[in-house]
Amino acid sequence: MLKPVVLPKNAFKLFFQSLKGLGTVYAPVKVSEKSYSFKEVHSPEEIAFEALRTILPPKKFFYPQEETLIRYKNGDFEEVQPEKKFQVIFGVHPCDLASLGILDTIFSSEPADSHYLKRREQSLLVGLSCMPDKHCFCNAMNADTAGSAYDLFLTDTGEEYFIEIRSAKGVELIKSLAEKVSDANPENHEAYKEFWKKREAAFSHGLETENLRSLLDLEWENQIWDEMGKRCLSCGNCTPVCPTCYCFDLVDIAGLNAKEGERVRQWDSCQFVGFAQVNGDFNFRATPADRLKFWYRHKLHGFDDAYGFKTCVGCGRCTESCPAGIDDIVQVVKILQGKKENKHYEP
Amino acid sequence: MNLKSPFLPQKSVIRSVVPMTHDNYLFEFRDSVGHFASCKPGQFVELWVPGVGEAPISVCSGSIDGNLQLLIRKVGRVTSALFDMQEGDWVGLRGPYGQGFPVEKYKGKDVCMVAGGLGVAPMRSLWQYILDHREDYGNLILIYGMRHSIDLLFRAEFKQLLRRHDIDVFIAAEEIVGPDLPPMSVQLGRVTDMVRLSAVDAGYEVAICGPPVMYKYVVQELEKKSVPDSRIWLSLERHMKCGIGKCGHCFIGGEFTCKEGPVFQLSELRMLPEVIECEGGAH
Amino acid sequence: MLSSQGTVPRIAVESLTGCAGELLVILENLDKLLPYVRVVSFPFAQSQNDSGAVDITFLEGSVSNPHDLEKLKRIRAKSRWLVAVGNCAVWGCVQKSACSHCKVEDMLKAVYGQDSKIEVLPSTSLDEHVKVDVKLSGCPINATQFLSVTANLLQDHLPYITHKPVCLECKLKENPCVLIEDNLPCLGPVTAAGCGALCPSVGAACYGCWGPSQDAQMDAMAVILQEKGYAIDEVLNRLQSFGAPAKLFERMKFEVKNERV
Repeated sequence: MLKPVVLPKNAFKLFFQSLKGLGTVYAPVKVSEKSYSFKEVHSPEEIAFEALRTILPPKKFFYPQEETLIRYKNGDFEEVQPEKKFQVIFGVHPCDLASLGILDTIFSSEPADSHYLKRREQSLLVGLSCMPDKHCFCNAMNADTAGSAYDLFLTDTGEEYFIEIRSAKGVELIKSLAEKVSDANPENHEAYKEFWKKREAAFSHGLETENLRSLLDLEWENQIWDEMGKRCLSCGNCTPVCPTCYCFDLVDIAGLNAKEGERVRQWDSCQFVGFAQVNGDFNFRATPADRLKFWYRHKLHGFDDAYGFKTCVGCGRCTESCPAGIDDIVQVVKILQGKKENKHYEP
Repeated sequence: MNLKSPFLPQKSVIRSVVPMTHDNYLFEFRDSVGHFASCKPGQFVELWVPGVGEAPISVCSGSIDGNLQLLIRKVGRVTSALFDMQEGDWVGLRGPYGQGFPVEKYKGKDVCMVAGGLGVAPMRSLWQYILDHREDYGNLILIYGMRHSIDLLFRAEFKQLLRRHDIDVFIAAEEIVGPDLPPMSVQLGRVTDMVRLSAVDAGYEVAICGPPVMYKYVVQELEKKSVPDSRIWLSLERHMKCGIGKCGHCFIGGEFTCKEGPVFQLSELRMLPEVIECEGGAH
Repeated sequence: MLSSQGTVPRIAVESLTGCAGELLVILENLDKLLPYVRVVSFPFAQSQNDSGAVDITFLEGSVSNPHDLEKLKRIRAKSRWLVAVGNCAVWGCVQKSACSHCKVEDMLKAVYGQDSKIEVLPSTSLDEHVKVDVKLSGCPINATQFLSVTANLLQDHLPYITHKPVCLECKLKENPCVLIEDNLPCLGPVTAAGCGALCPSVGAACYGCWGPSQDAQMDAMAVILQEKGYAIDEVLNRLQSFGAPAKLFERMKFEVKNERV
């Protein structure tokens, strides 16, 4: 374990320069009145430090929206390797770090996904503390601390960043900044604890998750699924924005000359009607209600047995990006638990 | 890191193509390096036609010795493209994937095999395996049902099976059309009728494979015969797009059909939602 | 390859009642196709055309008069693969939705006078009359998709066209949602993707020009737009503009008013 260090905010520019020295730096950037997106940045001024959630989570850096897996040509084929390029992702909040920990487990389970793992290897993750808003419930999902998927984690304590170091890559970087950082002193530690105490007190969701494991099975026939299903657009927005949704489609893109082409992987969504359809036109999830219920169960209970964790990290992206207003996980769970007076879903 | 992509297939050359009916062909692929030698009954492979795509296909022979047999029905884009290919052409094959029928557990037991329609293909891998190791198993029942008798697959093999005394074979068609081989061996009715007629009882291990709508009714019949859930094994049809528990298309409840299945014990499935009920289909 | 005996596959590019948008996309990309096909008929682009049998016909436009219908049947008969290109051919487009609002004869009289000799039919998509092998929607079609569909057909394979919604493409491009953030009447959730979420990418609402996505939830879409303050008439008009079939509106909880003109 390496001791935490402290970086004065006025030295951030140098910290940023060191990150840039490693490779392309991506950080949250403001893209509209309300939205942020992880984009390439060239200077600290471009970074939206206030960004709480980006439209797409950082999974896109390791598991891109579309990628070629195999290329075939003249009767033979070969694997297409991911681009060799070091990337630094700056400003990743605890929920997103937790989600990457989850994806790491899923993609490295046998047989491991070499493309994801290669991209993870050639990257540095710099976490950043945040203050929750009304849609955040990461602390109810055990995803509110830095977790294990980061290299460096910055806690904003006012004048300084309190930096936790987790990996050899992180150590290297901090070493290069030796003149600007100092070992955290007891006062810094106090400020750090103060921040996280304040942050814990800022959550307003009131969600309790003790019985989540059995809840989704017990309430499988609850009326709210149909109520919400009637409003569901099956637009699938909840899945690309989810930091742990990773379902994909595999398609061949043929070249005109019949001799070459590619096999491509693209993000898919369980909310589309064709997702669980099999030959003979059988569909195991024919209605929006079926698909929505499946997704909720999958996020809150689906991987309890297979992997021993829940795949919802409480980031609130689905709630924010559902045009029908039916992805308020906190409200749904409370209704299922019988903790809300009104038993009907209120969009 | 020198990981190889799990999506890279084996290049496999078509050794022979034998039409069984107008839309069911038996393809044989050369497996000279023995990549598929470890295949177990009920497992499947992903078959890739470059430029078109992949489809999961069940292995349909009890043992793989240099050649991999796949019975393929022309139903979708990939299979249609394959039907246009011939001896000497190549495809990509990945696998074998999934958990097949638990042939070890069946040892010393009576086994009843129930196949509907194209479900006969994976079931063939099971009956061939069991007949190859006949002394390890008790009484055997094989039930095969289809819509029209003209669609009967593996005709020659069934002719042989009907002659054997160490396996009870029931063949049923909802409609008798075309030649019946040998005479009167195909009965009018459904798989469920055959289950009722058969001697299957609570002591049997029952393996089932067929179209999704069939399961509910066969299971109901077996319940009437007091066969416990722990002895009923279903090979589930799901869209196993990647075959390696990643793409999510075949996920049910808490399991990936492609990894933990496609063969599941019914008692295990009772715990999961949306397993047997489905909408649509030709029925 | 499609044509036997090593001959070059023959293609035709034809049109019925449409705006020639698809023809332009095909023309712009013809150089990529030319090494692999012989264009035996493309009246929009060449003067020498042959009416003989072809491997593939790309047909644009809706059936809007008896002449279209006759031509469609002739084209079907001479084509191995018939590809409906563009919303007009696949769904019937705006001309079909106009015909659902009023009688086509009334429109004819209103536009061309009481005693017009022009023969018209209520506009329909191709598949209401003949078997269509591939439906490639668009307004106009996407060039990349057109080339990949053609590549599949040249190899005698049916293409993989999914009709997932525009929202997917929009999210993959990480656009801010104009439906949520700006309350624009965006039809991305119920419209088939393929355009690359063109309109939302520049901050405009999708107006559904590619036709409905697979399993489009029209009733939910109407409810959500109404909640945003859009009048139901306006919403329905928007949802029905590009030929979405009536059966998609069956679940609507309110009456669909058709007596407008």
